[in-house]
Amino acid sequence: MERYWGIMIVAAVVTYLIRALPFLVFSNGRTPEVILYLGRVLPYAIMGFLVVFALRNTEWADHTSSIPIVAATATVILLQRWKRNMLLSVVASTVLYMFLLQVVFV
Amino acid sequence: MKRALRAAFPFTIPVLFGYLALGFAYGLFSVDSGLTPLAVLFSSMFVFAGAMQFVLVGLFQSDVSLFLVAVLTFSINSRLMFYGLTLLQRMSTLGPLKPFAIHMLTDETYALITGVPTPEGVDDKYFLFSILLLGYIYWAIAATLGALFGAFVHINTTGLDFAMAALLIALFTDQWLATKEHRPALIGIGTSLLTLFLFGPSRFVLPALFLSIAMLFVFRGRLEEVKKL
Repeated sequence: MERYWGIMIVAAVVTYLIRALPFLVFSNGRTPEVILYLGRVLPYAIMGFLVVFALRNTEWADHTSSIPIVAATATVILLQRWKRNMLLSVVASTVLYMFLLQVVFV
Repeated sequence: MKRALRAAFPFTIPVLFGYLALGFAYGLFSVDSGLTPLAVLFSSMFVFAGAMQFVLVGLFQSDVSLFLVAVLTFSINSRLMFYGLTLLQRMSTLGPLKPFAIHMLTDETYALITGVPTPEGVDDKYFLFSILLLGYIYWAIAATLGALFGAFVHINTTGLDFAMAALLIALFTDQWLATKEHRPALIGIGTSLLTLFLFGPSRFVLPALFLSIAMLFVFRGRLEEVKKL
């Protein structure tokens, strides 16, 4: 049980330090111009990264894995372009994905 | 604050779905592996990082050293430090709430914060904090419910976790449509695909983000005019 708490505390402290790192480094005085530049452009790059990150475990060679992913991803993009309704895009594509996985490509 | 919470809630509904599914699965899995519901709640409250919490369940049963736990935690969660880096200014006015806001940053809530414009008449810092707080609460509740009732509920949730990916893709699409300057987004996708191909899904995160930053500096002269989000 002691070991259990030790692991939990280490994981919690390290995770908090990772999240807090930029705030600790740039805590005193003004934020450098380069960091302000990153603050403007990096979110766009991170969003691109997050899309790849979300799909990173797809087995592209296996069509029972790739077809549902491609179909659901296309659904999100097209619905979002068309209706601009986040909830609709997420629900419709997720339902389609679950249907493809559970019924079509069992 | 109440007003900000009300304004933020509709935007967080996709996160609610995603966290309910994943958090519930996490709670169920943990209890199956011998954790108590209280341990599940504490892990969700104090570690609060989905993938890492799944890994922790395995670590509790192993005999790895605490140093290795720290190294593993760093390698799995390192991407989180880049989020705060772009929020230094927006979070600087949060005052006593700031340490909590920092703790509650996740992939999904970060994407919402940068992707959704703060509605008219709502204080930006409270809107941002509301999104973070709601995500935090959803996860803790879902994980605890999974730990308490997971064994009695039989729903086939295969594929429900796509809600998370869908949210990120939808936010990306919105951001893409909102600007004519697509180079930062293309840099993010390009470097991620390249490093994913080179290093594989479990090791591409840090190379992707550092390479992105390097490329953003290469194009700095031409990207300086990009407007603030």
